[in-house]
Amino acid sequence: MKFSSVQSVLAFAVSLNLALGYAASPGIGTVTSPGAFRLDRATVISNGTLFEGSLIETGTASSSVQVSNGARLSLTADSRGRIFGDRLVLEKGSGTLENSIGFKLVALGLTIQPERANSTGNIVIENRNRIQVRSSSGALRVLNANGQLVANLSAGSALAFEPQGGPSNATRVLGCLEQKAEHYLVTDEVTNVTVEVAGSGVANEAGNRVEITGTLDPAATPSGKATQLVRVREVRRVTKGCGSSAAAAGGAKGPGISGAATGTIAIIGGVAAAAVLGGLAAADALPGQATNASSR
Amino acid sequence: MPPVDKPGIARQGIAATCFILATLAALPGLAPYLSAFDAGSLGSDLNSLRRAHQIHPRSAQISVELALLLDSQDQPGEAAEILLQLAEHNHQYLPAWTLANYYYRHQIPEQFWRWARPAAERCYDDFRPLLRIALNLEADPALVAERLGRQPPLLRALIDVLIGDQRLEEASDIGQMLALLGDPADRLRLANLDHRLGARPQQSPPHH
Repeated sequence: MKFSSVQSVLAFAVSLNLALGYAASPGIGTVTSPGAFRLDRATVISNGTLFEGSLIETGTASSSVQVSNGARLSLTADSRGRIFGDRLVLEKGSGTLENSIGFKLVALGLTIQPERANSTGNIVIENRNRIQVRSSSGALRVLNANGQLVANLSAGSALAFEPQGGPSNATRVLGCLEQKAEHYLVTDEVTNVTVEVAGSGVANEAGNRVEITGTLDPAATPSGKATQLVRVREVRRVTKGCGSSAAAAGGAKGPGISGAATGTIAIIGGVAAAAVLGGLAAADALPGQATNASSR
Repeated sequence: MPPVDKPGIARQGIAATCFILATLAALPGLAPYLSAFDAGSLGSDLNSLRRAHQIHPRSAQISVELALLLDSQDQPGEAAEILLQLAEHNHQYLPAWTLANYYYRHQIPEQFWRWARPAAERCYDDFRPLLRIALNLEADPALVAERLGRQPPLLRALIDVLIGDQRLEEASDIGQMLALLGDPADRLRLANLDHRLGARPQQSPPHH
């Protein structure tokens, strides 16, 4: 065989090898940092390629993550999270959504879902039971592990959340009980979630500000703007009429919580929520907060 | 007392004034870069990064951040150009590593291997990230070792990665490559590898 033929065969074999060899995933994005960080338990300098399920651990510097679908987020120093094409599962520290096209943050089993592509926000794992969620621009929705809505945060608002140890459908809401035809709705002052309530004693309290305790019925279809139906166990009137609650209503709407909502704890779908003031939850201890031990 | 060089002092004064004015003129452009840099990252503002790159064209971190942002905004040609310019004058690990990743993501294996080799040669810390993407491209660890250069630290890291992936037979093959290099410091590692393979007899490193 001539030498040139051998060369041709070798060249073909090499190109075939390269072509066949490249069946690998091109990755789901990139991560950059001004310093070193850990990627899948290995030390990386400056930048790296992310794959589905990659584990990112920041060191003394923050890291920026760019996902191929356009989402962009950052992890502060000393954070840890597992990245997927559609979500970051934060295990420690803090993460910020900077551009949230089709992207979610997950922590302690809660999902933080931007309502629009340009919604931005931040979540901080405070300890092994509690996270803090802050919406910077646009609205954020918080869902529990069953996919039930537990809070609506509008721009500039912040809430602390603690998944409860008990039944995941446990619910306690506070707000004005409105009657819409044959249905009764309450928009919770802390979480800004509207629920339909059903049960004995409800009709008598229409038009009053009430605290309702019960359980979510995941099989029921709620009425109007309500996202879920609560089977009422107890109705407690807080004030006659709803006028005094106007300033406090919509706890998760404004930049801070004022009036009666300060210090109020809501429980929706087994998740306790309280307003955050200056970085601290307005209620010192949410129900179910067993310990402040760090998750780190 | 020596005579005072008045024209010389005047020239120095003019030069100093020009320098201060030039610095002040550059400040508006520097401000976004400096604020982003203080925040720990140069961020996602393309204009700030471009300006920062104009001011510091040889900064590896700025070049890398700008290139990756351009790449994410569907401007891969300009991204590659910036990284290749960086690699021309910076022969350290970072440009080669970033280019290897760039070509990996863009599925251009020839260019990946072209830059993966110098990245391996200049790697001063952890070889595993480079080995992981190399093994995604080329399933045969022996070929990966060949293409990246058979240096002992790389082979040791490759063995660790393969053991982590439960690819013990292939780890053993790389162990034999390492044994042939004859570093006594590797005896324990190779013995451990043997142990993992069920005390199967392995080639011992040559005695010195």
